[in-house]
Amino acid sequence: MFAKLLKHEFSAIAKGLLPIYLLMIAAAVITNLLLLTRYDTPSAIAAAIFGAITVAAFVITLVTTIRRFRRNLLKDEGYLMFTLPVTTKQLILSKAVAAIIWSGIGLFCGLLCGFLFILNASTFEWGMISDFFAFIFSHAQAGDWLVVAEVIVSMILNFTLFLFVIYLSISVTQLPIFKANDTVRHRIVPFGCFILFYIIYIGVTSLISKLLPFDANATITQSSDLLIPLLSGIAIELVVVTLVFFLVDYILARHLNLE
Amino acid sequence: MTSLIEIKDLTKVYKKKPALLNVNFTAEKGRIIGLLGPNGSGKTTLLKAMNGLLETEGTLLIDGSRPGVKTKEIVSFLPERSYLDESVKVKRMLSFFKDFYADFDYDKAKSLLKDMNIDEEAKIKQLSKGNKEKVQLILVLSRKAKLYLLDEPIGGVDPAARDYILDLILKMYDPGSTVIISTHLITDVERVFDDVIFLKEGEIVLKGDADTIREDHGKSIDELFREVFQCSLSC
Repeated sequence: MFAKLLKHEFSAIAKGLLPIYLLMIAAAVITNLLLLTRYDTPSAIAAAIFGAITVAAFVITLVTTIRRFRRNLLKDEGYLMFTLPVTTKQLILSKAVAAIIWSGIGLFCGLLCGFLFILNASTFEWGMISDFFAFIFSHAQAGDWLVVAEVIVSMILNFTLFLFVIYLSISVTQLPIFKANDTVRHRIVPFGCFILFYIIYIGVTSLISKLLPFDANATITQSSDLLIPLLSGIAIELVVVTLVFFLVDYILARHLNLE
Repeated sequence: MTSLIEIKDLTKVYKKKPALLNVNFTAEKGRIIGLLGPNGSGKTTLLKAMNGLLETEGTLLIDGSRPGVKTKEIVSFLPERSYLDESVKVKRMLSFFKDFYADFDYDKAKSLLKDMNIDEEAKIKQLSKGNKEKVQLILVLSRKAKLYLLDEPIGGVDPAARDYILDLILKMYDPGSTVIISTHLITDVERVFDDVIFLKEGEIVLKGDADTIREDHGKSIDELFREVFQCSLSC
C-alpha cells in the first residue's frame, strides 16, 4: 500500500513541479545560447529570466510540499485519504518521501543548469573535468569518503527534519485549543510553531554539543577530525526526526479534526 | 445473527458540549438503516467515528474490530463533502480506487458513469456540483463493501437524480452488506429503510424497525420525524 501511496503522491507533485523544472532547464539552455552569440542585452534579459525561474522553482517546490500535506490530508480530500486502508504513518511517510525525491530532482536540475553555465565559460576546457576527478581520486583517503557520506546523510536528515517540522506546524492546528479562530489557526499558529521549534532545536543541540566529549570549535587539520562530530550530529538529527515524525503521527491519528 | 456494528456508550465531546452522548446500538448484516436527525444532531460525527476519523469514548466495533486499517477495507464511506482531487480526470479517480480497494469494481464504475452521462475524460473541476456528488457516489457504491456509510447521499442532487440514486443503492445493495444513510430528506428516501435511528442533540431518541415504528405510531417516518424534531426545526 505504501508503494501505491508513493506512486500517487509522486505523480500529484509532478504536475506542479515538472513544468517549472523543465522551464528552468530550457531557460538555462536559451541563456547559454544567447551568451554564445555575445549579444549583451538579450543575454542579460535571459539571465534575469533564468534567475527568476530558479527562484520560482524553489518557492513552488516549497509551496507544493506544504499544499500537498495541508490540502490532501487536512482539508476535504482528507476524508478520502484517512479512510483508505493505510496507516497514518504510511500517509505521512509517502508525502515526505515524494517531497524529498522531487526536491532531489529539483536540486539535480539546478546543478545541471549550473553545469551548463560552467560549460559556457570562456576558460572552460573539457580536460578540467577529468583533471578535477583525477585530483580528487589521487588525494582522497578512505576517511574522506566517509566524511562525504556523513555530510550527505546529514543534509538529507536536515531536509527531512525541515519537512517534518512543516508537517508538525500544520498538524498542530488540528488540536482542539486552536479550533476557535481560523486566521490564527491557519496562518499564525503554523508559522509560530515552525519558528518556535527551530529556536528550541538550535538551543538544545548547541547545549548538547557542549556536553559532548570533544570541542566542536576545534581547528580541523584533517578530514578524520570531522568523523565523530558529524556522526554525533547525525545521531541527534535521527532522534529528533523520529520524535517529530511520531508527534505528527500522534496528532493526526488521535486528534484529527476534519471540518 | 452477527452484528456488523456494535456501539456502546459512545460519546464525543467538543469543547465541553457533547456531539454524541452515550450512543448505543447494534446493526445486523443486510439492513438499510436511516440515520435521521436535523443539522447538528450528531449524524456526521457518528459516521466519522465509524470511519476512524474521530477519537471517541466508549466502544465502537465494526465487524468485531475497532476502526482502523482492517475496518477501512470493508467500509465504503460517502462524506457530505466532496473529497475528490479537483485537478485530476474522473478516470484517474477510478484508478485510485482500484489501487487501494481490493473490492472496487472498475467496470461497474465505468458503466455507472456512462449511465449518468458523465465523461470519464472530464476533469473533476469541470463537473457541476451535482455531477461531482454522483461521481463520488459511483466510486463508493462500486465497492463490494460490507458496510456503506452514506452521509447525505442525495443532498446535492436534483430531484430527478434522487430516484435514480436510491434505485442505484437498492440495485447495488448486497443482502450481506449493511447500508447506513444519513439524511434529513426523509420523504425521498423513506421507502428504502429497513431500520431507522433518530438522533437528537447527540442522543438516540428513537430506533427500530421502520415498519414496526410506522405501525406503532400510525405515521410515516417522515411525519414522525417532523413531530419529534418540531422544536429543533422551528427553533
